[in-house]
Amino acid sequence: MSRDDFDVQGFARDINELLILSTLRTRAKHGYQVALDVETESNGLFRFRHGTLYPILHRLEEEGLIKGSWSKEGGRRRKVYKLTGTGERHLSGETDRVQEIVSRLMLVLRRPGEAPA
Amino acid sequence: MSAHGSGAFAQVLREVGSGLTVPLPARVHILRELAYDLEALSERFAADGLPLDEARRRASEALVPDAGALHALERVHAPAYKRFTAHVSSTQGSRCFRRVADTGPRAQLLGCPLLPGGFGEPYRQVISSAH
Repeated sequence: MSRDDFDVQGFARDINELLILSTLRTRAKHGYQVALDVETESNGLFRFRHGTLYPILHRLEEEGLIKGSWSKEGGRRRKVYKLTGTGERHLSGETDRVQEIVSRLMLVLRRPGEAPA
Repeated sequence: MSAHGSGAFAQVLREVGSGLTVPLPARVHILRELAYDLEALSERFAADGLPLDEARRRASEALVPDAGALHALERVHAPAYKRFTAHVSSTQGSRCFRRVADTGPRAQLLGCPLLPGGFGEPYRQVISSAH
């Protein structure tokens, strides 16, 4: 990652994508289950509200990072998503990248302050 | 169940559908997915002890796309030509028009993929030989 690559808004969007990919690591889930699990696993820190989940799910599906499939449950059709191999590799690489960014940020934030003049 | 749903969420699904400008197959899939999730999540909330109305309200709040989410869905599901033209106008297009503004010769215009004859060495040759 070069210094020029980083932008805060893009980082926030990336975090949402990674949260979804991460919660799909364990098993296939449908949309509302993804939203509930992200909220539960983060102790309420991250929440998808107002349908913001769906554009992310659909974009990840289009990029081949997750795969959606339709099934029937109790006469109702539902869409279930699972992580693909490409998605797993992406998640692993991006997790390293996020860790690096957070580490750099913490270095800056925890740097001892200069004494006031 | 139809894409618009037959249950308690039929009205909200109709509203989402009317605000969604995407090709029909994508619209049907989006509404069908939303219909299932709304019903399943509200059932889940109700099973946790919430009154049914409150369960439905909370499910809607979580899942029904607002204007921003609808717009994002439209971007994801826009037909290929729309995405292409959007991409060109945000990248090559601006470069082309800058080039044209800078120099303006006919050869530059023909090199611009946004204009008739763009990408067209053959056109250039025809015009050159005509002069």
